[in-house]
Amino acid sequence: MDTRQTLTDIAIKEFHCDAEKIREDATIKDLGIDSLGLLEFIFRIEEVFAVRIGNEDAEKIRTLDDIADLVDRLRPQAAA
Amino acid sequence: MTLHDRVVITGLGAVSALGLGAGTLFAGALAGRSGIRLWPGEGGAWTAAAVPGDPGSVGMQQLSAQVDRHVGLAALAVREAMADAGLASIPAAQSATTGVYWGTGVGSAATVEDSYGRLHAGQRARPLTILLAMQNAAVAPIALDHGLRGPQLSVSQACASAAAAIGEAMLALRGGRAERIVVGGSEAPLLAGQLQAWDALRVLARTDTLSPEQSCRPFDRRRSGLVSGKARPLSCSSGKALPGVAAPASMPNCAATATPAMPATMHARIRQASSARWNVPCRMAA
Repeated sequence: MDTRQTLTDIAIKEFHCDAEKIREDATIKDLGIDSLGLLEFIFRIEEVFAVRIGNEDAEKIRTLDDIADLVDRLRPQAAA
Repeated sequence: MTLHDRVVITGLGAVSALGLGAGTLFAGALAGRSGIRLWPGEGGAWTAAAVPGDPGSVGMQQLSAQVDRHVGLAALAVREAMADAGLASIPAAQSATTGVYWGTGVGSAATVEDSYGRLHAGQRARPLTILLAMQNAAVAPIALDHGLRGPQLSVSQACASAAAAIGEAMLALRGGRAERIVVGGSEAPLLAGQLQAWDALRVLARTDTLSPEQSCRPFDRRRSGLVSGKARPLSCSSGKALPGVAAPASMPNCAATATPAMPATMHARIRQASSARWNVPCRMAA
């Protein structure tokens, strides 16, 4: 499962983000997801990728790229 | 603020089993159309007054797309009413004097049912479950979406919740608590768990197998009970001393039917009131 493509699909299909605004450096706010929406977004990501994102990591998320890097770092740990 | 004797309704919106829009609802009711059908879908075991089709994403600007069904549909009605009232955007200077009063009997039933489903499946509850399930789940996003910082109140009085909210809003306007109030009510209780609970209470109407749309027969000696439905009547009230007086109107939230048995005098009054507003063709009930 390609992390970035899956994140893009979730953002567009489940959170109704504008596909034209989705870039790796796009901020979560740019995509129209507010702080409460980010909680739901993280929750969905945890379900899809079978990872757990701690509060410290969650607070550092600014862009889709941040999330992709975080998921790629956590997936091997979760699988171990 | 000044005290107002008169309160007027300046805009209307509705999402109902007859379709989107207050005009659609009114024209359908006057034409004697019923929004009741088998649920879920053809061959369904229940009768219900569901909103037809998929109203689509409501896209509240300030909110996540994750809201309960009744809140999402309320947003559609609010937008229609705000546009009808010429209040598509509230100037900052008027924000603090513009309130939201909203009624709901059951509230966020889908969110609650989903939460219990997750609980019994050994899954985690969604992060926003509390915010989406509280009885003010509609009031808060409506206020946020339109930038309304005036008084807010959630009203829950069973099937009369929307009517009670309208009454409370009228009193608030008369008392000078606000200059404008967005008021109405919303329900979205069409869920298996909800219908089973109503059925256990033995109050649901028996399905008319030949004509499911006629399963609900208020004021009829053959009536057998109520039909659950979704409705979002809404109005924008203003305390401004505009000419004319409009009495707040309400729609039943949890029992939906057409009005063939409406007394002729009431029908005539509605007909008179509606003809000027929407210019809808209508006929007298038999």
